[in-house]
Amino acid sequence: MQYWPVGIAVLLAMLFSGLPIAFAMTATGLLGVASIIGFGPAMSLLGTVFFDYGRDYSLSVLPLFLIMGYFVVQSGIASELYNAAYAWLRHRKGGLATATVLACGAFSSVCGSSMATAATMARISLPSMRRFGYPDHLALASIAAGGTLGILIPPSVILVFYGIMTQQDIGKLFLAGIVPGIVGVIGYAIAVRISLYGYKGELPTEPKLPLIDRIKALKGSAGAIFLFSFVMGGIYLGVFTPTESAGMGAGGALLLTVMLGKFSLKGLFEVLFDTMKTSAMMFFILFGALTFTNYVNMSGMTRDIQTFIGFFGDSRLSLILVILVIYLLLGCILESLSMIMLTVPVFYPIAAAHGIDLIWFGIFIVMVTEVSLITPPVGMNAFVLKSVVPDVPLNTIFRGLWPFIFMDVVRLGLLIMVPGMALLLT
Amino acid sequence: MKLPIDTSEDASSAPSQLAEGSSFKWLRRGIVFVGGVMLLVMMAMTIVDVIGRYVFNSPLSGAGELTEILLVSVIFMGLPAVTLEKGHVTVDLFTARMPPWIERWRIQVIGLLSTVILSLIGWQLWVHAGQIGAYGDVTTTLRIPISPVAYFCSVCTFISAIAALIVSFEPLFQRSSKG
Repeated sequence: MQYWPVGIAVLLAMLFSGLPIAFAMTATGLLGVASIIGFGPAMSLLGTVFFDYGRDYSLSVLPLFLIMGYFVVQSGIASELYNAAYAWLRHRKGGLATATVLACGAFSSVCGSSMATAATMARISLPSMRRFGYPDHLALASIAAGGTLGILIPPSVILVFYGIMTQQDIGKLFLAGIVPGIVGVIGYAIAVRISLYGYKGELPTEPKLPLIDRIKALKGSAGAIFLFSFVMGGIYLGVFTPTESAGMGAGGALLLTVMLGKFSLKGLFEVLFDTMKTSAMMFFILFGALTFTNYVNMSGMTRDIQTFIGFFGDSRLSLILVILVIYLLLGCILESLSMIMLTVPVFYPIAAAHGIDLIWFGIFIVMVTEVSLITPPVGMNAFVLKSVVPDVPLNTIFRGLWPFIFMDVVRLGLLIMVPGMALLLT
Repeated sequence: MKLPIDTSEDASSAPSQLAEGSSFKWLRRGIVFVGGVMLLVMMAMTIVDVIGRYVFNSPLSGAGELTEILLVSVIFMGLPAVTLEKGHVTVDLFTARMPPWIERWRIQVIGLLSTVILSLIGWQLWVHAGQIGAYGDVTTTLRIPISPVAYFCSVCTFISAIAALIVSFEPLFQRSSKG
């Protein structure tokens, strides 16, 4: 007889009352483990989890990629990327929105966070889209959706945590994210066209630039392209471990900031302090999740859920679809990182038992999470944009997002039917 | 990359007023400087290690274990700041539209609960540090003793517990200052 539903109820009660997710998971994990093996042994678990996992060498990849991301934001490369994308697309209908999507994809290749991508691109592309009279729902939706690519196109904070929790190679996970990321950019470009079908208003275009000027416009984005090729090329060729590539990437991003003339001592310490705080925040969620995982493993929850999923059929496809539905529902209440940390320990053993490739599964989970970032009521990327433009109602943003969500669903279908999309490069 | 970007405008979600106070300014600057330097060292060591390995055929010895110690120290040094600035991720779907009198109580209860949990973690880290010290654990190459690092993490967690306590009493201060 197992009582894990009680544990889940306690966890949800704590989460909904607004207790920080990290502490709620720690407390539930602690109480749960204590209910099974007693209070003393459960307590000693805390010391081990919080200290011994904290000094795991492979985890140093996270703060280093965070440093890289914060420097890239500070370097101002985002506006260079946007200008380059616009030079190639300015003669097309809705070119500014398509350029936004493309620049988001390019920015994601040097930044591992969706919200940072959305927030950075909003400051750059929104003013020009508004100047050209783009409707708010299209302008903001293209930024919010484009921003979700941040966690899929490597480097990716979410893939780092997935790799840690499932003991998969972070380098392989990164490589697996590239092709689905490119497919995502194409999908969102199509979504921009879909959004324009019903739109009656005037969208100005500019005359097509000669090829030579378009190539010249790429010059500003060279730094980002170099940084991405250096970091991912190093992983692909096996020259660096992921941690080393993160360190080199952080150094490269610092160099880029200096070269673009954006370096200052104050800015440097801002980057470092933000990295410290974000690391502390994320690691405590990880420690909380690990404490909780101990309880999950002892309580027999995984086995029961496996039995439950078994009712829907025994094939891999039905398993994937059930997990998909569960994630889409959870995505309505939980924020992305916590959702991944809470659910991956439960689902990955089930996926592995069904012979599903865990690298593929990681990409699948990240893509489902991307959907949750732009669907109401807790679409974090829409919230990010709302904080940048408080005058636009959230509903307007969500209304514009439907074509993008539709393309996300198409992309998920593609990933399920053609697993090679993720596994091609690994 | 700051995760929860607040959309609500009530006072409870603004950065802690106490966090802005001048008494914390110097402590804060010290943490920013020491932690920042630690991160820079971590980054530089990785780069020197890689370049040393490929160019000079001699990797930096002990870089890995130093990184581990710096990593755990940086994480725990960032914790008090996150707690004081209310930077922890929360689910605010159900708490966003609470009436102010419930909200005040909620913040207090949540803050006290956070204090208790952080204190438990701090206490267990202290116990763990003692055990590590009793075994006399040191790092493999550089022979740096590990238990002081664990004690340091424990102290940082206790400071965070105090930070959570301060945050929990903030609504009371606000009420009294508004009369």
